[in-house]
Amino acid sequence: MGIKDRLKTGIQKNLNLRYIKRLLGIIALKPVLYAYGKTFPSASDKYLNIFTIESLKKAYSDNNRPIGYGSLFIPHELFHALGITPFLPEVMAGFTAGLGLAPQTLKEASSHWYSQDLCTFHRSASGAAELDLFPRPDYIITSNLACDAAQKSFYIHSVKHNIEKNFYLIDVPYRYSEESIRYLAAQIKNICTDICSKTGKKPDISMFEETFELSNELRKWAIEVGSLRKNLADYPSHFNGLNFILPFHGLAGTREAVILYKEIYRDLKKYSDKQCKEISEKNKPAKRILWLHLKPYYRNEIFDILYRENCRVVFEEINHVYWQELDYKKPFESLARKMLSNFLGGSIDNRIGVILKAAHDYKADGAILFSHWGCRQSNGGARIIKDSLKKINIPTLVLDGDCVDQNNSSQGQVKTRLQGFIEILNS
Amino acid sequence: MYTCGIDVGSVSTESVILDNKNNKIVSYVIALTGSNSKNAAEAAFESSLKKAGLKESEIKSIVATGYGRINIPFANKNITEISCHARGVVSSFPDLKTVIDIGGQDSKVIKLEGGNPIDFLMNDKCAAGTGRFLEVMAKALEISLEEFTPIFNKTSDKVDITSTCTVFAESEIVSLIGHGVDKNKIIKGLIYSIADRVTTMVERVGLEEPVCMTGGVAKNLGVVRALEEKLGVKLNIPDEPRITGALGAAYLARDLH
Amino acid sequence: MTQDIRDTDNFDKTRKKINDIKFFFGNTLTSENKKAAIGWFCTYTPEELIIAGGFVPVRIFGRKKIIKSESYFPINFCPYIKSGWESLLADADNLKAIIFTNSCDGMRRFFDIASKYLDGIPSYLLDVPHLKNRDSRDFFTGNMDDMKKFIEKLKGEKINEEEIENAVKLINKKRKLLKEFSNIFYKSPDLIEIPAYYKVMELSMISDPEIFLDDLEKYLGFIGSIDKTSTKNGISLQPDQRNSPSIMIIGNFIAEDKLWEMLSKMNLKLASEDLCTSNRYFVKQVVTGDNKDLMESIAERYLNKPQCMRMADPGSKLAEIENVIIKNHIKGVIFITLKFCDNMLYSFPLLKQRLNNMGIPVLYLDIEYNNFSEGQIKTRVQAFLEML
Ligand SMILES: Nc1ncnc2c1ncn2[C@@H]1O[C@H](COP(=O)(O)OP(=O)(O)OP(=O)(O)O)[C@@H](O)[C@H]1O
Ligand code: SF4
Ligand SMILES: [Mg+2]
Repeated sequence: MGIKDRLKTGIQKNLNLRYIKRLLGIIALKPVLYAYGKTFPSASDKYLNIFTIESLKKAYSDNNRPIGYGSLFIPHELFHALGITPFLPEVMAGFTAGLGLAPQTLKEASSHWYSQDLCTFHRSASGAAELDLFPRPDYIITSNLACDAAQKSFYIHSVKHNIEKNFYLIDVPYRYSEESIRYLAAQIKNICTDICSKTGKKPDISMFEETFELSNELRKWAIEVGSLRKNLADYPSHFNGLNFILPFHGLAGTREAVILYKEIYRDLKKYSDKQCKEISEKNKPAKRILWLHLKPYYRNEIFDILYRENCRVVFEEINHVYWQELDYKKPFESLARKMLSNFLGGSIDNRIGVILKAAHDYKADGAILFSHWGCRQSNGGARIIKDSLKKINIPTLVLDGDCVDQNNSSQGQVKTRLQGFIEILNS
Repeated sequence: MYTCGIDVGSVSTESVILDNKNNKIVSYVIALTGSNSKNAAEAAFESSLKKAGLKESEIKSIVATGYGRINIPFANKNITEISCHARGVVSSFPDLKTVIDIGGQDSKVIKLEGGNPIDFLMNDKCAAGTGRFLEVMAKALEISLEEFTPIFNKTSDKVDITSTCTVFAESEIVSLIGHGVDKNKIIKGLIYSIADRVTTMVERVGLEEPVCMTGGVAKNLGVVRALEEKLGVKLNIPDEPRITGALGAAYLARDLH
Repeated sequence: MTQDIRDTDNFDKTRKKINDIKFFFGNTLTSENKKAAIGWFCTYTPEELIIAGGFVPVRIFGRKKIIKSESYFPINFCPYIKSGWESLLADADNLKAIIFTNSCDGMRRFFDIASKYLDGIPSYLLDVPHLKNRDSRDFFTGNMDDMKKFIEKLKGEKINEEEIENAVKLINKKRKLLKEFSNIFYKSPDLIEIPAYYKVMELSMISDPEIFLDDLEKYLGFIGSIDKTSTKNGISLQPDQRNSPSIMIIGNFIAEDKLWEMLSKMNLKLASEDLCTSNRYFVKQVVTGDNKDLMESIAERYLNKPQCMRMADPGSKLAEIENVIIKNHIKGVIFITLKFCDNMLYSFPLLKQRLNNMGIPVLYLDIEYNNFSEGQIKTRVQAFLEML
């Protein structure tokens, strides 16, 4: 049994906060961590795992208070600038799937009356919270951006920990307009001032300087990765662009995220240089797939099948860099603009624009929209997305499934749909 | 030269042997899949050979399809039901645009263009709108599958079945029977409820004529009539709708060369 | 003894009459719309602006069997939206325009679908904030201004202050009378039956407000006249004396005739509600003042009306419900939600906890829209009532 499987079975058997802390205590020790890092096939995967574990270690240790729960689409630069250790329940839900804990967390959520019809990212996170597997938060910042789920489920976290006074909802308007920016910037400013008054930190824009610089650096490298991928004909089999959600959001504004994105760039660059030689020998170019929404985070065959059948995911919608550089001299306005630029907010046209452009830039042959059960905002747009892509002759597979709950779809059905779609692409 | 297509479905397994010279079906077999899909495929293959009077070595290639397709070691290739059904129908209806296949656990709608599939949709994870739904209801009503059509034809009224879920629909039916509602009207209602489900799927992909229906449920002419009524189109049915997948597989086996 | 029987007889007759909504609201039901209609969905839509523009605000109730609509939305999607879309696909031609709100993910997508696939009928989405404070009120006022411009375009001319003032007065009056009516209903369940009550509610949202108000006033007048003679013939508008339990119903867009009929035959007293199809629509007036901006006053009313679960502050919503329960001596809560309404579904864990602490039992139901399967629901409600 490899170290990963040992980790899995260990935590499955000892599902409690003490064990998680102990485990993180051991694995986050530098030598152990770097030995663990070596088990990964590439530098980017290695750093992804190392930084993830380190950030968890931080959030789970009581020496790094205050701790803030943040939902995925808030600007986490806020936490980093304010000196708050971020913790992302939705990303944790992904881990519950990866570690095979979701059956337990989802069951717990059901017994607390979370309906089975709700998004399992939130349900699983809530179940984990009810099982007391999460560190106690000092602050909670969430928003209505992209979906309704976060603002609601995060509020319940605040009740559980008795910190309703430290619960902040960033109310993101529908339209991108100057009024919207003002309304939003004022909210972000109020949150900062309020938190500063509680932590005793002096509210001062200089605290944003370093964080924003790093965030801009991340942005730059993420764009570089994107440009490189536009012309990448092949990928190493272990690469999966849907794995970088935590650094892309939660670590935005940290050095780690910058290092990681540089490594992603290097890995792919190395591969593309090598590939230039080989590609001419290969006779059949791979089918280029544009991936929409997220993926299952438990062990599944989807990406193996795609790879085996000579299909490559050439871009994932979620990796689109949608925001402009941040300006630390106008911190609140900058963050407001970042949030309002998110293409999952507002009209579906924002999202369609990104998808069509990506389909063009990355020369997609087909698109797969992973239709995560319970995600109203994404699935609700499936029809328009499919029709829009059809207009430019790109077929779309709407693949029903669940990102977290592996019992919510049958592998056989997924396989048939996927294979059927590939047959269409090849016909 | 001969090729063979084997469709291992959730309910039935079909094997079709195709004469590549004249594209004629030499023999076909329909059998129950049972609990072991591999054995079912072997048995079907062998009896289709026997029926055709051919030896295994005379079969140039074999394509397997259906949910059990992956588990057939003697097949040269496995191809999904989507491509196979599409291929299977165009031999009889060359300019077809839409295929509706309703089997035991899956129902699917396939869009064709120039004989090739360009889009498809399969039912979601629940069994409503599939042959299994009808089987469960037949059991609850204590009738056989063959009785659906005559009852449909002779009954003018129907009761609306509001539950779309198989489990709830079953209990709804039990309670309707309990209330003394005419069984025939319930059956007619059931047929319309399945037609509603399938209509929804067809709407999702977009209906284009000509349309063809395949799979075991195409044998249920009550469902066919109700569906024609809901969709407002005529449904073409192949002579033996159940072997469509296997036939398509046999054609695709021929195309392997 | 004989006296009693005669009174009961009389009572039954009167009750039958009172519940004859078709009779009392004849004008509302039969009058041809002279003005063009603008469709709306969510109770955060400021009807005042529609009326000020010279249009009739008509809430879209759907009520069409979902068939075509299914191909535009996922399986697990708000059934009210699906059925609303079905009815727009069938007869949107009757509408001059449609106003959507940014109330939830579902509505956001609904607006997208309507904008893309509904030819010729302009749609507008009003952005409604989730917070309740001065900034959000100002922001909402701005958004309403934008909506006003949309209506002005339809109207072909500017809407003036006076038109808005008149509209406010009209709707305020409607709210006041609906409130009166609901108070009578809560207090005298023997008199007004549940289906009749919700029929009036529905009419209040889909009809020309002036005609409706006319009918409602006469109707209330009739009810009032019984009150005056109550001592004589034994009909009483006094709190009902049955010992059926007082129930509060909490839900979203619940407009299920079959449900109302079913409930009216059961041993319960509907003593309080929290629904999009009732109190969330009519409770709270627009308060205008001499030096208050009119649009701002309207914005304030909408943000502070009984809130929908979509709003940011579930805490104050829970407190709101708790107060109602105590004030009205509620013995049990029926929580009924249309399927796949995330905001409702997420509100349940906390509500359940809170009610547990109060010792108030709650029944959880989720239903489809316009496809009521009585068998299942009835058993559950009955068991719940027996438990009380
Ligand atoms: N003679 C008949 N009359 C009516 N219905 C029939 C008849 N024969 C089969 N059926 C229906 O057909 C269904 C089986 O269809 P079919 O054989 O196409 O399924 P399958 O291919 O095994 O399943 P799947 O494709 O879902 O894996 C049965 O569930 C039954 O409802
Ligand atoms: S998957 Fe969809 S519903 Fe779930 S958190 Fe993400 S956006 Fe929200
Ligand atoms: Mg089949």
